[in-house]
This record gives sequence, structure tokens and C-alpha cells, in this order.
Amino acid sequence: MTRILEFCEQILKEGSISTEGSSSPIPLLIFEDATVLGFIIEYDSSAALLDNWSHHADRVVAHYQMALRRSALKAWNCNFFFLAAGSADAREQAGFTAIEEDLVGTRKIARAGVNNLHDVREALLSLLPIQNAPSIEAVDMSAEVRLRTSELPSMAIEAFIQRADATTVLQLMGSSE
Amino acid sequence: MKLEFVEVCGFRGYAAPVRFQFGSAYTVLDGRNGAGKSSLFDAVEFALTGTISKYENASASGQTVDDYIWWRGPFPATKEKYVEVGFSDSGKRVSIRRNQASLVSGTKLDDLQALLCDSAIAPGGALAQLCTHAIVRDEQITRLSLDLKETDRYALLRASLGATDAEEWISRAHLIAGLAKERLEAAKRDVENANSALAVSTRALDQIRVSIIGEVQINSAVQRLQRLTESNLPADQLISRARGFLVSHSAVAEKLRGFLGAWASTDSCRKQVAVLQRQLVEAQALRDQAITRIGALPSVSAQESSSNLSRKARAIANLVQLGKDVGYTDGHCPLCSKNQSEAEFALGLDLAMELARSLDKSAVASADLERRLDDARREVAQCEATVREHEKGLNDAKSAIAKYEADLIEAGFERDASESAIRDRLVSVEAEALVVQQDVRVLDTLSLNRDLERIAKELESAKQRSTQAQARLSAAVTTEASAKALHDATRRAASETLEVRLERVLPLMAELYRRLRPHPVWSSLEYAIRGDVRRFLKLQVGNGLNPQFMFSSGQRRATGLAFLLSVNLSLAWSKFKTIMLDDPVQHIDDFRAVHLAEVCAHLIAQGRQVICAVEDEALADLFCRRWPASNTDDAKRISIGADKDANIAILSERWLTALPRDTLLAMPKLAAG
Repeated sequence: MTRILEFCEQILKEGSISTEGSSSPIPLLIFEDATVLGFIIEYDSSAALLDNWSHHADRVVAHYQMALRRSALKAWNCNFFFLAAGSADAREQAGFTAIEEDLVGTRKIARAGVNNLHDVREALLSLLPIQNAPSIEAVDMSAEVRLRTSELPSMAIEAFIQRADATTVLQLMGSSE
Repeated sequence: MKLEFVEVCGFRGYAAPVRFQFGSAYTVLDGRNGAGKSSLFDAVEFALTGTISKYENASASGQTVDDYIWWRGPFPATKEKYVEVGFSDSGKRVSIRRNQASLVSGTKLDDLQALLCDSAIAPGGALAQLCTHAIVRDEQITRLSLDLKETDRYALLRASLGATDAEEWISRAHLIAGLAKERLEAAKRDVENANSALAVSTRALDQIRVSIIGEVQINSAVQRLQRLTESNLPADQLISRARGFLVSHSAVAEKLRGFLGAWASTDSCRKQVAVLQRQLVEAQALRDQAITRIGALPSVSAQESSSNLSRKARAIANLVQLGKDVGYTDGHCPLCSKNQSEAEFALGLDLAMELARSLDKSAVASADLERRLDDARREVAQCEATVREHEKGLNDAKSAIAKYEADLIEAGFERDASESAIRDRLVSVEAEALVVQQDVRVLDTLSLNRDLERIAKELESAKQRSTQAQARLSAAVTTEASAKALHDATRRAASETLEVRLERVLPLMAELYRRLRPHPVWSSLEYAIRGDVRRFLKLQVGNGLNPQFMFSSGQRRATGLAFLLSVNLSLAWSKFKTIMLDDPVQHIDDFRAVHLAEVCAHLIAQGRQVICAVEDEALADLFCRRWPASNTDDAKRISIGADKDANIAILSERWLTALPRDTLLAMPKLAAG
């Protein structure tokens, strides 16, 4: 298995997606989870990807047709990832877009410039859980205010935090001098 | 907390009661236009807030959405109209029911809000905001995202993070800082007033000290005043008498100035008297001469008057002319009927003519005499007028002189007092008055000693007040600085914590954008927060391009979905895990609809509940295939439409089951073999 496919396997396992490498009918990585299954095929260049993706997809589907039939409705969620290491020019990028917008049979993702773990993660993003789901806790304004008022009279600051009225806070500010 | 069911009756397009029971993972609803999909989401908002916000404040012909909340179809609805919405979380179930009178029953709204929101950080109107963020409506996707002003976009995101609590802290700190500033200004005014009073007292004291006179000077002044006022009164009583002296001296001085003023005119009168007397004598002599000339001229009788003689001469001449005109007639004169010869008649006419000439000559001489008499008489009259005028002038001058001299005598002068004598008297009087004035002022200073004591006390008091005011100002300056620092610190706390939270949310928005892939070229969305006072959230693609103007309608909607979903997922104060999508794929192509399905699949996998309504059955099928379901009745497919009675109803519903597992991975060798 190539380094990029190894990266794919690593990232998909992080996302709890099962994988298995295969060399039949071509070198590829198979993946599957509860709703999605599919294949990842790597190319050296964008040109090679554009020249071969359709033929390779047909061969792979033919090769795994029995399994796909057994997956019943899940076969609708079959994804193909065509990843090229080399970059793509504008014309090639337009070709990639055309591949992706072709929804016949399978969902297809075609990306160029995939060279490292980050590139792989971006390419497989649709399979991965939300990466940046924020977990935001309530702000403890009392602590934040204390943190920024250490040079001020502490009794006055505590009174402010305890929501004492403005006159009381000012009295404490004045009396501490 | 997730949405468990919605039951409507007589609400919007639902005439008959319908109850929708949702899967805890997801529910996909399909139905044609008007099938009641949107009303389902409206029902949730109405139950929670009592209104439907998507119409904003729209009105037409005096009607608003409130007039159309309840069934207004062509046939009567079920008698009771209501909306009931149920929520559940880990076996805990609550529901709220709102009827046509907007009466709420079931769980109290406050209790429901506490279950759906973290009350510690929830913003005001939390339920309304919750509905805004949880219900993603087709018509609001761009209006609440890309089409928002950058400031409003920032405010929306900030509110979603529950930053309003910080606003309350800032508001209190601002109040304290404002109060401290007011007190500082008041303290400054106190210091200014105290200093001003101190300066006034100091000046008054200095003036009094300068004004106080020595004892020797006072004694001298008393002696002078006693002498001038011819009294032996003591000093304190002498002032009044001296002021009376000044009044009388002032009157005398005024009178003397009057004499001096009239002296020149009186002197002029004196000189004029001699001239007038001489002129009078001359006028009298001229008059006498004229009278003498009249006496020397002969008198003219009435018979000898020039007019009488001239009239006679003209009559005789006229008679001669008449005789000539008639001529000698029948041997006698036609004028007198005397028988005479023609020669005699002619001689008679010549004699008569000679007589007329003689009379005329006498008339001329008489006229000359009469003129000379008239001239002499006029001269006499003129001389007499001149005499009378000179006599009057002489009398007036003498009267003025007499009055002036009488006033002088009355004022103690000689009748012929000179101007210098009067002036000397005036100088003397004014000098005395000046001395008295100065001495009175000297005596007035006797009362200043009492004032001096009083003002010295006032000065001491003013000094104390100034010292106290300065102390208060010093404290106020320090307090104001502390209050300002507190305000700044609170604002920084709010701003910096918000920035930190935004930095955690905005990457999510960028990720959702990349997942939804609105544009084939601009595959990533950049964001920037700018502005010091008013904050802006700017979204851009590529090299600073604004997607609001760059993208097509469908692409803008896909971008808007990324924004709204990221806001929903960022609601720090929300405990409501449901996302309701009302026809989210209008104008969005099937390629991007697949992306949305993938994003929602991950949201469901992470515990969110998605309730999505679409028109297209095939799209509904796609969602149902793509989204994860278990075999525990957590996913559902519902079709809505009109039943046989033309009521909107559930036409079909079914629980979805999980897809088969390990179909591909378990079989590669078999498949390959």
C-alpha cells in the first residue's frame, strides 16, 4: 500500500471507519461504516487520474458487484475517491469538478495535490466527523474580571462581582486609598 | 432535549388534528407545495413564542400574520384549535400546548426555557432566539446569513455564543465609571468654588488693610472738619455734618460757576450800552433833519394836486379834439353854439389847446413836489423805527446788567466784581470741598476695623473648605481612575473571551463551507472580524471576493447554510439538540444537496436530531438512505398531503432501519473470487 493510502487508512480509522487494502483489480483501499462504503484509488498525476478514473471505477464496480448487491440500499452510498499527488491546472480542475458533479451510480470525489496527512484529511472530509465542532462553556465573567483587575482595590472588585450597587463599589474604591 | 412530537389542530392549513411523532435521530418529511411542511415548523415556533417570526412585521390591509395563524379554509375546522409540542431527553418528557386564545397549558414556559436553555448565559428572549437558530427556513437562509450587514452578522454570531451576559457586566461597570466621573466633576467644581471664595476673601482683606488710615491722619482730619464745619462734634458724628457741608458747598460752587458762565455775556452788554446810546442819538438827529426838510417844502392844495391838474388838462385836450372832429358848423362853434367865424373858431381851439398844455406842465411840477414830500415822510418814519429799536436794545442790556449785579451783591460780591474775583472764590470753595471729601473718607475707615475682623474669619473658613475640597478631589481622581480601569477591564474581559469563543466557532463555519462546497473554484471561506467600536464579521472567498455578490442564488444558499448551521452548532446556551430544515435545498442542485446530506449525516451521528422537510420524494429517499439509523425506531420517513376529505394529513409514515454492516469489507475475497 502506498504512503497516501496508508494516510487514508490512518485517518479513516480515527473516524471509526473500517478499512482494508486490496490490489484487486487495482491497488486501492476499501472502506465501510454504518452508512457509507467505497474505494480510494491513488494516481501519480492529475492527468493520469483524468485519463483512468472512469475505466478504473468500472473495473472496481465489476470486481465488487456481488458485495455491492449484497449491501442493498447501502450501495447507493458507494463513494469513490480519486486522489492525485500532483497539482492540477485550471483545465484539470474543471475536469475534477465534472467528475464530482457526475452523480451517476456512485458518489465521486476527485482531488489533486494530495501529498500529506493534511491533504488526505481534506480530501476525505465528507467521510469524517465534524472536525471543528466547538465545545463552548459558559464564560466565568467573575474570574475574567478578577484576572484583569488585580491592581485595583480587591474589596471594591469583590463588591462589583457580588453585584453591589455602584455607590457601594465607589465607596470601597475610595476608602481603600 | 429533542423534539418528540408536534400536534396541530385548526392551525394554519391543518383543519383536522394531526400528530407528528419524530424519530430521535432524524425525520424526513416530504410533501408538495401547500402540504403543510412549513406549518409544522411554524407550529414549534408558535408554541414556544406565541408568534411566527418569518413574516417579521409584515401587514397588508390592516391584517397581519396573527389573523392567519388559525384555520381559515373553506370548510370549518375541528372546534378546538391548538398547537401542542412535546420534547424529550433521556426519558424525561415535557410538552406545551397553546390554543386560539394563546393560553398556554402543560409545562410552564419558564420551566421549558430552563430545560431548553442554560439560563446562566442565555440571552434575553432566549426561546425566540432558539427558534431563529434551530429552524432553518428556505426563505431565511440568505437573509439571515450572507445578506446580513457585517455588523448584524457579527451580532448574530455573538448572541449565539451567549455573550450578552458580558454586556450586563459592561453595563454595570459603565454605570460605576459614569458615577465616578460625575463625582470627579463635582469635586472639581467644589475645588473651583472653594478657591474662588478664598480668592474673594483674600482680595477683600487686602483692600481693607490698604484702606485703613493711621491715627495722626484721623486726628488731623477731625480738626479740619471741625474748623470747616464750625463745630466741635466728635469724629463719628462729624461725618454727617461734613456731608451736609459738602452738599451746601456743592450748591455754592454751582452758583459761582453760573456767575463765571454769565460774566462774559454781561460784560458784553456793558460795552453794548455805549454803542446803543450813540446810535440812538444819531437816529434821533436823522429823524429831526427829515422833519426839517418836510417843513421847508411848499404845501400842495387839493386844487393844485398833480392829479387834479392832469385831469383838467386831459379834459380840455379831449374837448379841442372833439371840436376839430366835428369842425366849424353852420357859422358857429359846435361846442358852445357861439356864432363866430371859422377863423375865430380855429383861434379858439388853439387857445384851448395852449391852456391844456399849461395845465399839464403845472401837473408835472406838482407831482415832483408831492414825491419829495413823500420821500421826506418815509425817512422820518424809518428814523423813528431805528430810534425805537435802539431804545429797546438799550433797555434790555441795562436790565441784564442790573440783574447780574443784583445776583452778585446777593452772593456777597461788589456790584462790579471782576471775573478773577469770582474765579478765586470758586477755587477756594472747591478746595474746601475736596479737603472735606478726603477727610470724610478718612473718618469712614473707622468702620473698617469691624469688617477686617469679619473677613479674616471668612478667609480662614474658606481656607478650610479649600483644603477639604482638594482632599475630596484627590480621592475622586483616584476613584475615577479605578472605576475607569474596572470598566476597561470588564470590556476587555468581554471582548477577549468573545474573541476566543469566536475563534473556536469560525473554523467550524469554514469547515461546513468546505463540506457543502457551494462553489467549484472557491473551495474555502475566509472570515475576518474587524472594527474597534462596532464589530464586523466579514466573509470572503479567493482574494478578498465577497460571496454575497459573487455567488449564484444556489451557491449563496449553500454558503448561508454553512453559516446558519455553524451558528446553530455554536449555541453555547442551547440545550435543544434539534435542527429543523424547512426545504433547505430550494435552488440548490443535486450535487450540493448530496453534500448537505453528508453534513447532516455527521450531525446525526454526533447526537443531533435533524427534522427535514423537502418537496422531492427522491431527495427524501436520498436523505433516508444516507443518514444513519439504528433499529430502535429513531429514524422516520413521513409523507404529508391531502386525505380523501381534503384535510392535510399524514399519508404515510414508517420507521427506518439500519443499513447492513460490513457488506464490502467482509466479502472482498469472495467478491474477488
